[in-house]
Amino acid sequence: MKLAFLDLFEVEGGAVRGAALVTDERTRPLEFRLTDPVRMSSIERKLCGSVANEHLAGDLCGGPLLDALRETPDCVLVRDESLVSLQDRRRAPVLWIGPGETVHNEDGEVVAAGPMIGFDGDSQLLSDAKAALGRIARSYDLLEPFERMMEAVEEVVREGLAQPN
Amino acid sequence: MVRPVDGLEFVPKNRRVGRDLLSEHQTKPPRIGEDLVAEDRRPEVFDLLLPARPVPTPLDRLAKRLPVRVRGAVFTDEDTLRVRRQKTASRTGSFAPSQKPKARATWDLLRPLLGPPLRFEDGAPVDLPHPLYSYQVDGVLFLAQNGSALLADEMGTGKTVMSTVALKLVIRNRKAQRALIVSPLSVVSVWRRHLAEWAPELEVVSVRGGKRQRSAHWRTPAHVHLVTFDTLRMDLDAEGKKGMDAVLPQHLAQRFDVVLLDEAQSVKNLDSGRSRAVRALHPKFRWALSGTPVENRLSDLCSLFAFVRPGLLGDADGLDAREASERIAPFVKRRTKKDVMKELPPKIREELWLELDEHQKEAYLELAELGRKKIDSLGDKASRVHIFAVLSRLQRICNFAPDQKSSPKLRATIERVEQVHANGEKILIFSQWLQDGVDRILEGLSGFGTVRFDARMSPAERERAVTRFREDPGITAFVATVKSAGVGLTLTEANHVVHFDHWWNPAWIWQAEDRAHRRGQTLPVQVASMWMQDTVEQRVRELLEKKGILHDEILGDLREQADGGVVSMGEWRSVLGGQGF
Repeated sequence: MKLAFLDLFEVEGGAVRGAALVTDERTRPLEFRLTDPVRMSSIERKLCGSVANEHLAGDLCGGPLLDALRETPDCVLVRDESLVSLQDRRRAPVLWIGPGETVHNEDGEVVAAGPMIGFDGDSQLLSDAKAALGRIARSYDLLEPFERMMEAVEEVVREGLAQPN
Repeated sequence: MVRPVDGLEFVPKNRRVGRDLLSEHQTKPPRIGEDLVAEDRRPEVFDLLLPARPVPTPLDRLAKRLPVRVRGAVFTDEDTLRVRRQKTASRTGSFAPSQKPKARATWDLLRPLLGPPLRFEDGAPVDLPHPLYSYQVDGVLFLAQNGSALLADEMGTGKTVMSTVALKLVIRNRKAQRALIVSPLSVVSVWRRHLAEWAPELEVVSVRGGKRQRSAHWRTPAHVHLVTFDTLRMDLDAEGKKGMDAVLPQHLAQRFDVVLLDEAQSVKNLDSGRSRAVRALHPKFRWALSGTPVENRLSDLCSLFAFVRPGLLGDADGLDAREASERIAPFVKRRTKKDVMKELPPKIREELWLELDEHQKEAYLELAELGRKKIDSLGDKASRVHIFAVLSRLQRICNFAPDQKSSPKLRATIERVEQVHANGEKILIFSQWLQDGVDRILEGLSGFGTVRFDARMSPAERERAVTRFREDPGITAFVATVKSAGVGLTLTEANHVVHFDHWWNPAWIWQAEDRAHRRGQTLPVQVASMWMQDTVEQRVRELLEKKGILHDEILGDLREQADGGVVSMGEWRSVLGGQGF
């Protein structure tokens, strides 16, 4: 199973970069893609109104990123809620993932903990993804790859590494 | 970080979650009013509502917006990467001055950041090409968990492997991003091979060549920069004079999170340029590797710790061995092969005491007499330099008489090589001399398959010599100067060693023979030392024994006084003037 981690990062001058990291089940990197900085003008933002964020996240960053991938992910994990709208254009389920709350019983023992997932789309896809992700999440932290992407984007910004490749 | 306990928990998609990176839509009403009217400008909104003619609008621009450029790469799997890097390391491991710095692929630099942290299972790191021994795991963690660390394990225990994995660990786990490895020239290629094999995901740049080329190398982004002690000294010296145009400007020199000194005894002199250069760096991790951190005296250790832990030991004045060892204890890990490699075959020593032949005796007595007269005539002005000059010439005669191609030592060596060759084994032969050592030995062994390894060879030639010796079954003997081949090389294909003569410092001799007696050796290692009776060699040997005790005192039980081992002028004079001279 291949996982795509997709996220947005605010960078220089209020612009946003989208980044996608495709990994195998052990979260080892297979592919990494990054957009150039994207900035919506105030007019664009006004014209898009309440869907401005969704437009920026989905149309300008997320969509092109997923289109550019050579590896075909079985599941797309996002931390930014606005990226969930990509589900409308993707066959693979696009799942929002975030840290869940740890639940204790009366004796103070942990009875539930782990990432929480939001989803909008076909329930069969959700069911398949849930089974696979549940298995992977027992061994690997599914939120940690987002931290890696952040480090990588910081390195790109710091070193100016994003030359054509 | 919350760890999953029982699978995943799902929440409705409309729950407000996540970071809101984008500012909220402006809700203020558009400024369509007096200001615009007063300036007689028609607000753009009118054009949108009443388009008398096609007019480009913001919406059109939005629709026609160029697609966002996406950059990136598919990663090669680690095994393929490892093979590719190993081939590259063996091909370009040398300092080829004509070679321009290779452009680094952007995404190769990001790869370690994007990989999962190095995982540990059963206390040992996984994702390595070979498993580590438990003492090596201890060594890796000792380095990775200490900002100041001297790994002083005995030669042959795998310090290079341990530090490579430690480097991989701190970079993969995002504790560090850039490392500088400073080593003697002879082991730069060894580092390249180890990095290619154990940490193929790390990009490595060797700093080499002329000034312009080195300047480009220092500016090439990489995870690891490899440099020799002397190159670092030269490039940092230039910094003060030329500012930003320096070969290694200050802002680049201070970017290294890890600085690792290999064969760290190279900075044993506190006032040397090498020592000053490494002390000018201010990394987060200060690591030093040395199997013999104290070659002569306690001040060696003070100089080393001036880098590893500045201010810990001071300048050795009034410091005794007990106090020094107590202070450095938290920052030193020292294991001997006896401690950790119980399965390593034994080292069997043999001393061959030979007599000078007639040619040697004649030349020796003549030179000895001349030398003694010269030293006597100098009186109190006689210095170590004068004494060493005479001793060195006498030592060379112990190897070969002038203009003679054979000698007792050479004949004994040939006999030994014949036996080794007949058994299908291999042998290392070390001498401190080129013309009166390596050259004549090679002439004498012309009937056997041999390779030469000495300071006159280029790094590429040395690399080829090592590869030939290791891989070519027709090569029996590796003939090298002890200084050029004494560190960093792994030559476990050999299980015989001959010390044709002996360096003043025993540490070099031990280092040299441990090229064969190290991890990977499966046979007992026969070490033969050749000495000429009733000569300065016999007296030097006595001094070596005396100095050898010093090393054990400092790094063995770390208890005893250690300042009595320095060889004094008087002792050197006694060697020169003793019976049998």
